Amino acid sequence: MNIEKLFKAAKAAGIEQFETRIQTESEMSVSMFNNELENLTVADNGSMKVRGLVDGKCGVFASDRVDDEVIDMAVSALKDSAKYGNPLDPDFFINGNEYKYEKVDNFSESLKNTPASTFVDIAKQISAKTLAGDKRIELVNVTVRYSYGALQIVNSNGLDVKGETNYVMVMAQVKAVSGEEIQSGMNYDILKTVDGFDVDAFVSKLIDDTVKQFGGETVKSGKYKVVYSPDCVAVLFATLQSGFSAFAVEQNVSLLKGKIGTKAFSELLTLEETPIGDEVFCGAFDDEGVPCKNKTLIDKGVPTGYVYDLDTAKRAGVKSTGNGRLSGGNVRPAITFTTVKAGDKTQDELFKFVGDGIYITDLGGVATGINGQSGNYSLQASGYEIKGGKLVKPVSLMTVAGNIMTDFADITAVGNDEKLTYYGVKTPSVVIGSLSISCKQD
Amino acid sequence: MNSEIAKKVLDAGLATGADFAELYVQNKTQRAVDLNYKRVDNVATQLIYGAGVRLMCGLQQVYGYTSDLSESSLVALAEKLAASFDGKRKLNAGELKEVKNPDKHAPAKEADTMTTEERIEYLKRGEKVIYETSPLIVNARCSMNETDEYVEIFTVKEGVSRTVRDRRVHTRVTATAIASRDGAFEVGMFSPGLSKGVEFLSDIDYVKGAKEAAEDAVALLDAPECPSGVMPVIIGNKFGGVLFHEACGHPLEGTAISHNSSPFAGKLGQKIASDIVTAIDDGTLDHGWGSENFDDEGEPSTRNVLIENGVLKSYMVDTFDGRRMNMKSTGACRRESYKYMPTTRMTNTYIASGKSTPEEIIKATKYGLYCVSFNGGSVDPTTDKFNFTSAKTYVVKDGKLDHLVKQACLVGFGYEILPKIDMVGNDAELSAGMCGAASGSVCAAVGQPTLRVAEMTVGGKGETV
Repeated sequence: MNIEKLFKAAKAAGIEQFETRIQTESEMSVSMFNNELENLTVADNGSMKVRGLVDGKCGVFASDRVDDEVIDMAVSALKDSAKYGNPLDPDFFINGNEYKYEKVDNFSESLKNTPASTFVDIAKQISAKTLAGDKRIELVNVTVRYSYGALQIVNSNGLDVKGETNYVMVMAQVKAVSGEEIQSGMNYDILKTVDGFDVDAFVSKLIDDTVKQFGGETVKSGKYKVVYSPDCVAVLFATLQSGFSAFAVEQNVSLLKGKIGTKAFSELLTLEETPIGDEVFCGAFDDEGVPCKNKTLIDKGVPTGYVYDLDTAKRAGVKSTGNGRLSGGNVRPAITFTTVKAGDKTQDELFKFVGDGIYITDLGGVATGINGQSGNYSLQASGYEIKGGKLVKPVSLMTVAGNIMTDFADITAVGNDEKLTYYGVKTPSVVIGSLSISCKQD
Repeated sequence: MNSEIAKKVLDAGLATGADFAELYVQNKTQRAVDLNYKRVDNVATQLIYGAGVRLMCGLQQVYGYTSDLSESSLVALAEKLAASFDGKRKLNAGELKEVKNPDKHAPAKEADTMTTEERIEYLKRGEKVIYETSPLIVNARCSMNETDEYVEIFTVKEGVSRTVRDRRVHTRVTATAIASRDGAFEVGMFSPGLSKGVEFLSDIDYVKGAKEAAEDAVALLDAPECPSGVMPVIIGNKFGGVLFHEACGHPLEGTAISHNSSPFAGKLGQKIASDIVTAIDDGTLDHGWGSENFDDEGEPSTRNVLIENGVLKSYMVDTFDGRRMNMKSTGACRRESYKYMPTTRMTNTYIASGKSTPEEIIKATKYGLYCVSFNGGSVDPTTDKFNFTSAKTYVVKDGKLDHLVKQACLVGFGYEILPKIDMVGNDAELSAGMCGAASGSVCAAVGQPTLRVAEMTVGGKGETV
């Protein structure tokens, strides 16, 4: 698309302030089913979003079509949207020259140039080693996906920022059978480089996590100390994070309203927003072009402040924290990547610390089972019973019910096993003092 | 899409021995109007526009997509994909003959017969009644989502070159009420939708639905926690069908069956549910939320009886999975957009009506739960372990509804639950939902009559029963 032509058309149509976001993405994905290469996906794709002010109100339009023929439609749809849009300060179309951006290093030229055959080889190795690793593994599906994304935001006030990222996701799912019993298992890794990727360690964890589930028993329903694995902690934090939005606070729907500066959580909990770094979820600027920065959100159990976009910041009399994210037709404050500060206990030490309790490795039904407004949740869970500080038996089907606020106030230990999860949260395991577990009785 | 360009793309894809080639072109307009925080919060249009090229060679499948629909871009994509195979051409794209089906789901009133102002006024009536219901209501979200989608699917399959064109129009409204007191929040929701145009808006009583959503949210503030334990569970009709969708529908999809990763693989003709259970996936229902004239690989939609009187009769099958299963397509291949390789998915999936009245089912239950509505759920198709979260739930005592409780999580294994369905009501109805899986998020209706499962594991924060 000719961006100059787009801006000229917007100006001619009386759009006072104008911004366009051009995204390009490419993908190369291979999938193995057992030892056969089953699927290959390749893509080179683009999309655009435009925002603009008409009579002081903001209009939007989004399209996967990014060529000159969509310009007229974009301008006219934006104008129609603006008739009903929210009023927006013209200064929110920022002048990029007034800001300094930190370096985010999450694009690798060598990863970009990695030949497809390398990804195929990794998938083949995982598939073969998994099938050979344990005779109970009957099926294995492996996907290795390379993704590239670039985002450029340009506005009529001189903002012109661009970021690009690439990464590889390796994911494997297995079916294991022992007698009449069937178990499934999954492992994944998000990689910035495939050099040195330890296939053996990946396969070993996949097999171990799967076959350990055989012989699952029940536990008595009741209250237990619980060790949550990093993926489980990440699911719960992803919900809590919405409570930091200054907009949610304005609308009285934040779990954290009135909690800033108070001892809302366990002093073992420190949470940082970490957009500046080299992880795949990092980015130097938000959706308004404002620089992102690392900051502490919860300091030893005390929430330190909300996150703002330009609009909520102006109303609160503070500066944007670089958290403006486009949601539908509006920019709202949101958090994209956080890190829970690791503790010093290994996983085994966490089990010893708990003595008797439950280790939960997987939560199901998270899309519907967590009430983001109240923090209450009731979820399907699977994991292991801990007795005398050791895992003694798998528990394949139980439910766990709790409340995000009270549970995180009840964190009694934090592990050192931090993991980058695909929920955009890097976290170790944590121990919760007491949770309701329900399980079918024998 | 010009048929000559489509033919060139397919021919380029077939050059190295592929035995199936497909060009899928999508042009979809999504419109959203949202009232939120007592204002018009969003009026937005999105154009989803692109193409996917898919080739098969035996049990290998390659897929590519792009939003650049120029001839050079599409031919280059097909050539790139064809390079995955190293054989000699077996097929040519002959004349692409158009296959037509009657358009059963065409809108009676097009979107442009209603102005944005009229849409806002419509939603405002729902917003008003929500706020009027109680001072405890802190927010009302009222939304209208409309999509108008044109797909063109050019295929060379089993030596036949064909073109299929389909238009899909969906209209859905949502009214969400949030009630709060003393820092606690509860949510009530009403969200019907059909494959219809704006005539759908006058088919439903939006204000009544919005009011009920507000009443539910307020009532839940006073509700005690749901008990936990193992107990009989009565599942309400309409969206209660999410039970079957999760516990049985997903494991009956070709994706899971063809890879032998479902407990129902190899069980055709066997008894998998109680005698009173008949379940159907029907993509042909007039104006059904999940209906289409053709699926996303150009096969006609079908009415597919999956379970009849407890016996497994059929799976949902697409072309690729059908190759491993040695079965023909059932017209159930779907995708969210051109960015997804299509695979078997549900359309309108429901359990058929039985003989009991809902009142008889409640009366026959000494102690248990009655889950009237649900937020949704998910399943691991390999183990058939499922979960779903109830929204509006009553404790039943001595054959009567005793009191409302807060949301609960119901878990189990589908193959264990199906034989435990011991009463099926006579009030089957369908309800709109969005189903997310390998090929993205698609419109899928779920449904059932009121029915009872003799025993289920319930997780709640209340006392253990």
